[in-house]
Amino acid sequence: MDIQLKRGLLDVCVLAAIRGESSYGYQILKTMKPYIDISESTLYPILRRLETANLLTVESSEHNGRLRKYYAITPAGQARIDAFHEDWQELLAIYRFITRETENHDEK
Amino acid sequence: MTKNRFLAALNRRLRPLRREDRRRLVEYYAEMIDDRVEEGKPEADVIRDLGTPRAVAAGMLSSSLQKRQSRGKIGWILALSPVWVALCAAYFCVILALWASAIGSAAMGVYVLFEGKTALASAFLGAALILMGLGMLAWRGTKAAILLKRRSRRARIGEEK
Repeated sequence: MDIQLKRGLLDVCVLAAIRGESSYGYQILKTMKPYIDISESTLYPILRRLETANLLTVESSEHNGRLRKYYAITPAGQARIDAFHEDWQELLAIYRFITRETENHDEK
Repeated sequence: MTKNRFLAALNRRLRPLRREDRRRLVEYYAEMIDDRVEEGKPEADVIRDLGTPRAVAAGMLSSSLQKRQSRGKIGWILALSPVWVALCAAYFCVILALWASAIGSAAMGVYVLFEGKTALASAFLGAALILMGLGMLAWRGTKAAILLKRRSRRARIGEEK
């Protein structure tokens, strides 16, 4: 995938991974893996950025005798996903227009 | 490499960061390693997949480097500030002096004019005009210099992005 396109998708991808329930770092990577495979070094700045923007919250919780950080989505984070969804509805309409126009042109 | 050696090396290489940022990063990697090991992967393999501490640290530092650069510039300006304050004060005193003498000269000219000494009056008033002109020039020059500096700094920051 084009790298610029990928970069724009990653933030929303991470949010989508924690949309249903809060999740820890490694779990987020595993959830995303079938769609976008990123490394832990790529994930870290994204999590930091989303936290700074209040799109998710971080909470430490005990697991097997150690502390694990759990990331939970905020209402603002959910709104970000909704905005993404709207943007892509628009993009799909334009895509259909472009490909339909192309088909018409080929037929002629 | 063992987990502790990896984390210690990572911690060392992240020293340029603030203590809080560094701690957060090391905790993140410690957690990643623990989670992968818990899943059943051998610790040595997990560490190897992460890459060298140097590479990991380099990646993390480069993303926060832009923030540091802008902070560095502010630090540089602050460090020189006593010198700048003194220089600016001196410069503004000169401008003030020009204006003060312009006013003083004008006042003298008007006073002398009322005494009937027109020649002397015109000398004073002429001097007042010259001094006022110099004061205006100096003031305009300062404003232009500040604007140019601001514009070039904005252009430089824009390029860095």
